[in-house]
Amino acid sequence: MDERGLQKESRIERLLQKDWTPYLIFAVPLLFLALFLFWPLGITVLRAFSGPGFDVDLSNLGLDNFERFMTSGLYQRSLRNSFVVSASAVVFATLIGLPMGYCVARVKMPFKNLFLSIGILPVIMPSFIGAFSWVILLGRQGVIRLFLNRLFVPLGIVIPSIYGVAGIIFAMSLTYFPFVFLLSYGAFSAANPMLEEAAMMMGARRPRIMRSITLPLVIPSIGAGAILVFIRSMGNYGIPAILGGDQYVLPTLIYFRVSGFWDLNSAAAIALVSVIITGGALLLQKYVISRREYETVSSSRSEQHLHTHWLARLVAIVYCTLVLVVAMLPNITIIIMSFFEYWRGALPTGFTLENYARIPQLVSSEIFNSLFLATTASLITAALGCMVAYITERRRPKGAILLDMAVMAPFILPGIVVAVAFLAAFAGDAVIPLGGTYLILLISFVVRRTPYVFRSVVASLTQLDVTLEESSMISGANWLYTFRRVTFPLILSGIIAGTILTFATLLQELSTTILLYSARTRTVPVRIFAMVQDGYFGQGAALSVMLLATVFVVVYVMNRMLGRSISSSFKLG
Amino acid sequence: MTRRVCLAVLALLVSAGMVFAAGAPEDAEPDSLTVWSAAAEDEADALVAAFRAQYPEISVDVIRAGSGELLTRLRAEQPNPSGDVLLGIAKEAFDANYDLFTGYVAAYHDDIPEELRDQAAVPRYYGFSMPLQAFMINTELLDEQDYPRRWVDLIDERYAGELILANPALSGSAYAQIYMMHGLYGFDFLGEIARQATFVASSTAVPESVARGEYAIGVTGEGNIARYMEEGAPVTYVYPEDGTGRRFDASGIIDGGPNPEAAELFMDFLTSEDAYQIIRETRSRRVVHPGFPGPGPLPALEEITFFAYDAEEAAAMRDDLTDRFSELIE
Repeated sequence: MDERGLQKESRIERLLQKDWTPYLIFAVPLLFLALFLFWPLGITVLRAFSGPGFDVDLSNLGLDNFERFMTSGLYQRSLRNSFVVSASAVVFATLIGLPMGYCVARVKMPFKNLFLSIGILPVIMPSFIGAFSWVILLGRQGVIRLFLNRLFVPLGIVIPSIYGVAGIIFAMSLTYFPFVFLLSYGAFSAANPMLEEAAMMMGARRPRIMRSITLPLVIPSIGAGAILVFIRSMGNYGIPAILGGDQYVLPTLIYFRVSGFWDLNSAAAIALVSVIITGGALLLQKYVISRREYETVSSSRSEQHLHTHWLARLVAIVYCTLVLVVAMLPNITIIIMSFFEYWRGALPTGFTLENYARIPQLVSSEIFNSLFLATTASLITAALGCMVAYITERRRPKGAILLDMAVMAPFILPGIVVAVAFLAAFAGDAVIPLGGTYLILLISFVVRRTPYVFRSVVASLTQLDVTLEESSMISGANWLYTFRRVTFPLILSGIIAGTILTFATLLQELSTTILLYSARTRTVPVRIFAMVQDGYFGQGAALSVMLLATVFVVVYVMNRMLGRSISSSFKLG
Repeated sequence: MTRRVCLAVLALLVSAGMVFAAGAPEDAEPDSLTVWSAAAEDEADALVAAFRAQYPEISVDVIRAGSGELLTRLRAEQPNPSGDVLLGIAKEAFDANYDLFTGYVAAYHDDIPEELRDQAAVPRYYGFSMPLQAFMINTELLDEQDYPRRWVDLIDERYAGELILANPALSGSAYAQIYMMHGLYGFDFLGEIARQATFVASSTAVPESVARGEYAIGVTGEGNIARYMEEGAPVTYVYPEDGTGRRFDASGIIDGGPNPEAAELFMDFLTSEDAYQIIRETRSRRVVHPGFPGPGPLPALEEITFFAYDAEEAAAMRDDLTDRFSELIE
């Protein structure tokens, strides 16, 4: 054998020796993303630059669709409203959710599982009914407003009705604070207590420890929660439509273009503007987080030190209960509404059980579809989000930030824009015909919801000291073994938190489904939408209550079942 | 152990998912029909039931969504749309998307007045109902002598903060309202109404808000008013004395749909007296078929003052008027 042959052989040998498993495993999600994300997304971007209408015209790209942002007061006001609303919602959601996460994680209190399971419910405000329930409570004829005014007017205080920008911010903060609550709860319970103990032994007082140790440790998770709040607020159409009066936001403008003018390209352009704003927020969040290092989960662990003082416990319980009761008001309203025919004026009228009695005959296959689609999509999302997060955080390939943005984009884009991208790519005369199938819904769900797991896992990985994985590799474990036995258990709580959010929000997904469903794949929210449109609020409410109950039960069981294994997974060996 | 069981269950679910998901798209059986409906659920169901009584061998699927979503979907699914008939969207929407529909002379063609269908020799759409725009008044908030009687009354300062309308960019009906006001009183009038009224971004919010007493006066389709009146909400109607537009919404056959023959049979049925009877009774709609009285509590056509509504001009002005009007809302 000549020299070149030897060289070649040794090169092959080296290639064979190299651990290819990670690359094989990474190839799957990347291929999936290329096919089902980059392609439809690319078409959407082209749409935005294609001039008003519906056709994608490569020969005539331009900025026509963006012109209104320069010329129209309506567009500028809506842009400003969107920004103000989302930024304020982030601030208030953090102010509400962060202390709550701390309380549930660090204070010895009963019913933790209950708090965690109920805590997710405000996020799944069923479309439109949720916003209407704020009107029922705090509108001009709202029952709570009338009641409070009866108390306070003699004192010269008048509670205003909820309409306007302040009302939108109020409703959105209370809807989305669970993102901050749940993610910061995860971080507070995962952060290494030894750091705090060390500070305490060195004589630092509690406020100082809080400021310089505890809070900085959970910043990645607060950041992840805050960015979710920001994005969801930027994209929410229902709350501003019902509570905003004539204060509009970007999603309102998108809806106008699609619903009134069938002008999808202009809608895509408006959507792109909100993607850019969100991208800016995302970069800011990354910058704030990457300014410091987070070495927190490390090999030696001890139990979390819980506050046991009676005062701390009382304050924590009262605070958490209060927040949940206020945030659950729309859900409580929906539950009450589901037992009545109408709720017009201060109190509901016409008690009935008919709304529930009719459910089985109306929606049995829809219930199956909803559960099946939400479950399957959540699991796929868990795998996909986890792997993509690992790739961007640990492998840091060139263009990781692009991958990050691409995964976030369908989450930021309005559902109707994503749905149209999917229809254009996979229906009509598409090469891969998926129109009307479960698969098209499934994939659109996965693509649109991956960011929950993705962001949550990215935050967990940021908190996780890379030396743990390195020492496993040095000790001779291969990549797969290391991932399975070291990384995965440590980020499991992040994956679960993200998956639960995915499942809960998918159960009430409407904006994509409404364009993609067929008679066979119709889901529960489609029926709720129809009922609300037709004025059957009671029936819609009954169905919404079923969704809420499902989410509550699933989350509660998950928390109970996995609660111990999550916490034990942090104790290595 | 628990973990292993969990994993097994998950694996089962996922594989079940894959089996379901891999199923073929809707196959084009000759005996089926897919109706895309912007009409109400019970309405579409009642129509389909009556249709199937005549043609039991045809199975009918109904896809329900708003007209904006349905038209967007229709565009996106070109050139092989999965629906056959589009039910109950505004005539203006048909005109603006004329190329997506196919012409057919329905069996009861001659019964439908010419001005209430596509005027081509082979019409692409036939009238479904007439959603006349009227004032919806909350009777607990306003006494009868205080009701607005004409469009021009709406800017009376007595009603400041009590007036709710849908933003004209939302739908053909909402646009028709400002088009009529513009035609009657000019653009400056629109400025005054923009200051006076709240123009919300949800069409359903208008009747619901008036019925709840959040606002005293709304401008909406008469069918909404009738439905709330029949449900016992404290509301009533006022048809503006200075006239309302004679508009209609329609149904048509989707070009390139999977079941053209069944679609034609369904169009025949939709233009029959039986179908109009159902449309009139299920949702208290005013139907385009002559000879039917006003639906439910609503007055007959003869008692309503009409405004010379020029649909072509309205369509031509739409983008510009909506844009200019939008700038007035603050």
